Amino acid sequence: MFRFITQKIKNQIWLSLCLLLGMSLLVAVFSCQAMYQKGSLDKLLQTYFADHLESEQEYPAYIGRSGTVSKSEFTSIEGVSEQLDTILADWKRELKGISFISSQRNFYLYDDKGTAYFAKDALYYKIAYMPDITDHVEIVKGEGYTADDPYGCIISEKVMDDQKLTVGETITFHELIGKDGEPLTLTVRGVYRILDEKAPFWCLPPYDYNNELYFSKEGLESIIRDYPVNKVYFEERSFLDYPAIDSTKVSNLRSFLNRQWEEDTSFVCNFQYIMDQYRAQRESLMLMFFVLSLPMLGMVLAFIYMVSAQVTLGEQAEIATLKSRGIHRRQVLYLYFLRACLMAAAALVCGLALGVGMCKLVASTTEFCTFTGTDTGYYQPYLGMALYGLCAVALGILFMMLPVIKHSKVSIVEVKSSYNYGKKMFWEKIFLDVILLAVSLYLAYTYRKSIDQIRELASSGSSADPLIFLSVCLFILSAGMVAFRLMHLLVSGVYKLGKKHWKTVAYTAFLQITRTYRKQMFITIFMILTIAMGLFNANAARTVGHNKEVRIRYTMGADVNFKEKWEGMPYEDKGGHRRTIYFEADYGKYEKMLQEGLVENYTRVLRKDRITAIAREVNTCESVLFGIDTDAFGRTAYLPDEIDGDVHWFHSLNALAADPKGVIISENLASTLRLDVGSVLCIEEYSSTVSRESKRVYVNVVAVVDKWPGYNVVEHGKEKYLCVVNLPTYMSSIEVYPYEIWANLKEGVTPEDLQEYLVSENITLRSFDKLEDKLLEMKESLMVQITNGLFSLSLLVSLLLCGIGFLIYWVSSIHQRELLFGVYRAMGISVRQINRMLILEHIFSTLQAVLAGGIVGMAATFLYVRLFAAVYLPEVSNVPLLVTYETEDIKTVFAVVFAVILVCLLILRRQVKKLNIAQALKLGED
Amino acid sequence: MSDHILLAEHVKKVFPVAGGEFVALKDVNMEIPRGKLTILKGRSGSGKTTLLNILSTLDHLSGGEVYFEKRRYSTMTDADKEMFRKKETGFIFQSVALIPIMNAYENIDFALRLGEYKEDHAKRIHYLASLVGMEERLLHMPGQMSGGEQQRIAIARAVAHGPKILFADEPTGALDTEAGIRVMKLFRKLIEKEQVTIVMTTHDPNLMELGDVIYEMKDGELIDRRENG
Repeated sequence: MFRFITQKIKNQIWLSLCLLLGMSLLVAVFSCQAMYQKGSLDKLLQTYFADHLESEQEYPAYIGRSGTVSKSEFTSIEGVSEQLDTILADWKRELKGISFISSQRNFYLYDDKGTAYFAKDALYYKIAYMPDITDHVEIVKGEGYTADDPYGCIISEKVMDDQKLTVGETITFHELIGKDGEPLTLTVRGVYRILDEKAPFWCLPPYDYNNELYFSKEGLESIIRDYPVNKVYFEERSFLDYPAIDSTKVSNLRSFLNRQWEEDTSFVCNFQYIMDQYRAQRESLMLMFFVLSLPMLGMVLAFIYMVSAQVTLGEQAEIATLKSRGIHRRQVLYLYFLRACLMAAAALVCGLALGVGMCKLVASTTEFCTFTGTDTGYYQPYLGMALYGLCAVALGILFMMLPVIKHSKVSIVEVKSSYNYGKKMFWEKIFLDVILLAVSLYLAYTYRKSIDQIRELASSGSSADPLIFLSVCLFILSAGMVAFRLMHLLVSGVYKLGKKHWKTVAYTAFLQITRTYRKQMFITIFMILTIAMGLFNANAARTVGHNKEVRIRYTMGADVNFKEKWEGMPYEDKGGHRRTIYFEADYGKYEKMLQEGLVENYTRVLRKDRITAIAREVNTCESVLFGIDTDAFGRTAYLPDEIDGDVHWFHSLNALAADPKGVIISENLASTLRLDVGSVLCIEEYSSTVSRESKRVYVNVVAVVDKWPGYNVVEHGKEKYLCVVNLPTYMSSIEVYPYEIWANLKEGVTPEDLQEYLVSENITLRSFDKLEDKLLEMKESLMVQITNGLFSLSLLVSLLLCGIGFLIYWVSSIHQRELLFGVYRAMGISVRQINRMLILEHIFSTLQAVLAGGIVGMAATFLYVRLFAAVYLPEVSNVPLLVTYETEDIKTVFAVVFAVILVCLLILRRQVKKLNIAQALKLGED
Repeated sequence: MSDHILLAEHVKKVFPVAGGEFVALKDVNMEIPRGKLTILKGRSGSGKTTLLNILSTLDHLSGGEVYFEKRRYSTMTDADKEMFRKKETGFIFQSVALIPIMNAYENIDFALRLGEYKEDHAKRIHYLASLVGMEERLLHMPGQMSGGEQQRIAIARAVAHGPKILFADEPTGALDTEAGIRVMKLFRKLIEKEQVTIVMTTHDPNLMELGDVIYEMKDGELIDRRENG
C-alpha cells in the first residue's frame, strides 16, 4: 500500500510538491499566527509592566499583604513573620511557573491616634524595622544599629539631609512616655546608602523612604513592649519575576489574583490594572489576528483545493478504472486519505520550521513589506504551535479530500463521455456573485454612514467590528466573481463580433477561452483575489501608516523640539500663589546650529496650554496659545499642501506678520465666541484663582484657520481652541516664558548629533523631543505592527500561491492539451502560431484577470480604506484623512504577476517547442 | 507504373533506444497511386504508422527519400512541411477525431480557415456534412456524438479544404466492423467526389477488399504489394 501511494506521488511529482508546499504553508500560517500572537501578547504585557515601572517608578509586579496587629495580640516580629511565610509558601505553590525573585517586609509602629508618623517638633518619623535592609544598603556614616542597642537606628542619606540629622544625634518623642516615665529617646547610629536603587527590593522609588528610622528587630520589639504603641503595621511585598510572566501564565495568575481579592482583605497587588488592561486588549488583538489572517488562510486552503483537484483530475481515469475493477469507493477514499496523511506529516515538519521563520520575518516589520530583521526577542517558538499545526493539518487534509470525494463518484462511462463545457456552476445560476456584491456594497454604505460611531467605539478601546474587515473580503470575492462573469461576456462578445473574420489562431484561441473558461474559473478568481487583496492590503497599510505619520509630524511641527532651561526667580503673588519671573536665554546662539550645518531651519515657538480668550468682555474660552516669529515659523513648521485647506496657511501668516497685534484663531474658537476677521479678542494669562495678577492683551483677529502645526482640535477627549500671536507681542504685553525651539535637521544629521552639539555648547535642556522617536514608537506599536506584518505576509503568501497556482494550471493545461497541439501541428499549424495562440489566450484571460484584480483592489481601497482608517485612527483630528497608495506597491504587485506570467509563457513555449507531433499523437491515443 | 502522387525510395527510420538504436523502417520503397485508396496493412509494431508519419511529414526520415509530386522531403524546411500539411494534406486519427472545444460545424470550419479556403464556408460545411451524413449533428459537441459519428465529421474536416492526399491512421480502429465498413465506403465516395488520394493503415483483414492497392508490412519492411481488381 505504502509503495503504491509513494508511486502515485512520484507519478505527479510536481503537483505533489505543490500540494506539499500548500500544506506546509497552511501549517506555517497557522503556527506563525500562534507564535506571532503569543509574541505580541507577551510584548504587550511586558510593555504594560515597563510603562508602569517608568511612570510609577516602582517595581511593576508585586503581591503581598498588609495589615495591623494590635499590641495585645502581638507576640513577636517572628510570630508575624511566620504567619506571612506560611501564606507566602501557599502562594508559591499556587503560582507554579512564576518565580518570586525576592521580597520585602516592613514593620511600622502606630501611635495611639492611629498614625504611623511620630512627631518631633515640625518633623515626622516612622519607627520601622525592615528585616533584610542591611543586605541592600551600605552604611556610609556611623556603624549601624546592633541588637544590644535597642534605641539605636539608621537613617537614609535623604532623611539625613532633609531632617538635618547626623550620626550620634538623638531624637526624643515627648508624646511617647515609657514605663519608666521617660520619653522615648532614639540615637542615630548610622546613615545608609542604597546599594542598587534598581533592585526589586526597593519596590517603591528610594526617595519614598524619607521618614523611616530603621531599628533592629530587638529594638522595635522593646519599643513595642515599653512604650504606648497602639498597633504594629506590617507589609509584605513579594516580587514576581515579571519578565518571565508571559501570555500562557496570565490566566493562572488572574484567577489567583481574583481568588485572593475575594478571600483576603489584606491582600495587596500593584498590577491588577495591568491584568485588566491586558485582558481587554488581548481580546481585541485576538480578534484582529483572526480577521486579518482569515483571507490568507482562505487563499491557502483554496490553493490546496485547487492543486488537489488538479491531481485528482489527472487521476480521474485511474480512479474510474479502479472502480470498474470492483474497488469500492470507500477504498478509493481511504487510499487518497492515506496519501493526504503522508503528505500532511511531511508538511507538519516543514510547516512548523517555515512558520517560525515567517513569524520572525513578520515581527520585524516596520512598514508595509519592510522587514528589518530586528527585535524579535518576544517571538519564540513554543509547544502550542504544534497544536495549531495539527489543526492546520486536519483542515488541510479535509481540503485535499474534497476533490477526491467529488471525483470518486464518477464512473468510467462518465469519464469517457465527459462533456461539461457549457454546464453552469451553481453560483452562476443563482447569481450568487451579484447578490454577495450587493450585500457587501450595502454593508459598505451602512458602515460609511455610521463611521462616527465606529470611530467612537474604536477610541473607547472597544474591539473593532470584525464584519468591517470581513465585508472587504466579501466585496473583493464577490466583485472578483462578477468580474469573472463579465470577462466571459466580454470575450464572447469580442469573439462574436469578428467571428467570420478571425484567422485560425485567433479563432482557436477565442474558442479555447470561451469554451473552457469555467475550467479556468478557479485560477482566474484566485488571481483576481490575490491582486485585489494585495493592492487593498498595501493601500490600507500605507494609508494608516501615512496618516499616522502625517499626524505625528503635524503635532510635532518639526524634526526636533527642545526647550532650554531658563533661569527664573520664584515669588509669591498677591493671592499667595507661587510664580516665577523668567529671564530669556540668549536666542541668538542658535544661529550657530545653522552655521555648523546641523539644521535646515529653526524657529522659536511659545506654546502655552492654558490661556483665556475673552470676547466682548463676557465670553471666555480656555485656549492653546502659540507665540511665533511668523517668517521663521512658516519656513520651519510642518503643514504640507496635501492636508492644508483651500487657502494656503502662508496667507494667515502674512496677515499676522502685517499686524503685530494680530491673532490667528481656530474655527471652533471663532464660532464659540462668534468672532470673525476684524473682531477684537482679549487674551489673558490663564488663572483659575479669583485674585488675579494676570496681564492681558487685546488683539485683532486676522485669520481663522482649522489647522495649525502642533494644534489638535481634540486632545485627550477634550476640545481645544487656538490663538496664534506674534511672540514679541506676547512677551512684551504678558510675560516672558520659556519657549521651544523647533528645528528641522539637515540631511545626514541625527537628532543625537544635535543634542550632543547643544550639550557641548553648555546649553541645559529641559526637554528634547525627536520626531524620529515618535515615528518609531508608532511603527512599533502592536496594532500597527500586526497590521503591517499580517498584510505583508498575506501579500507574500498570496503572490507565492498565485504564482505557483498559475504555473501549475497552465503547465498542466498544456500537458492535457498536448494531443490537441499534436493535432494542430499535424494539420499544419506552426509552433509560432501555437505560441501566438497561447499569448492571445493570456491576453484575453490572464491579462483581463490582472486588470480586473487591479480594478477590484482599487475599488475596495476607495470604498473601505476610510473605514479601516476609522478603526486605526479613531481620534478626532483636524488633519484630513488621506487615502494613500504607493505606486511602488502597485508596481511591485504587477511586476511579480507579470514576471510569473512571463515565466509561465517561457515554460509553455519550451513545452510546445519540444513537442514531437507523432509522439504527442501517440501519447494522446494512449 | 501508373501515375503516382507519392514515391518512397529506400526509406529508413531509426529510433534511438537505451543501449543502441531501433530500426523501425528498413529500405522501404513504395509508390502511392493518385486518386486511389492505398492500404498499409500489418500487425502492431510492423512499422505502418511510422511509415505513414514519414509519408505525411509528421516525422523525419533517417535515410532514403520521399517525393510528393517530385518535391523531395529532404529539401523541405519545417515551414515548407507545415504549408504542405496545411494546404495539400488531410489527416484522420484513430481515436482523436475532433477538437473537443469545437462543435462539428466549428471543427470543419477550423480546417477551412487553416487551409485559407476562399469560398463560402457555410455552404461547404453543409455540403460536406451531407456527404458524410451528419447534417443534423453539426451543432453537437464531440462529447455528444458516438465514435463513428465523430469519425465521419473528422473525415469531413480532413477533406474540407480540398487536399490532394488524405492520411488516415487506423481510422476504423476504434469502430465496430459495421461502422468501419461505413467509413471505408465514405472513403470511396470521397475519392469519387473530391478526387482525393487516400493512404490509410489498418490491421483489419475485413477491409482489404475495399482498397485499391494493399501494401503489407512486417518488421519494418514491405513484404507484399497487391492491387484489387
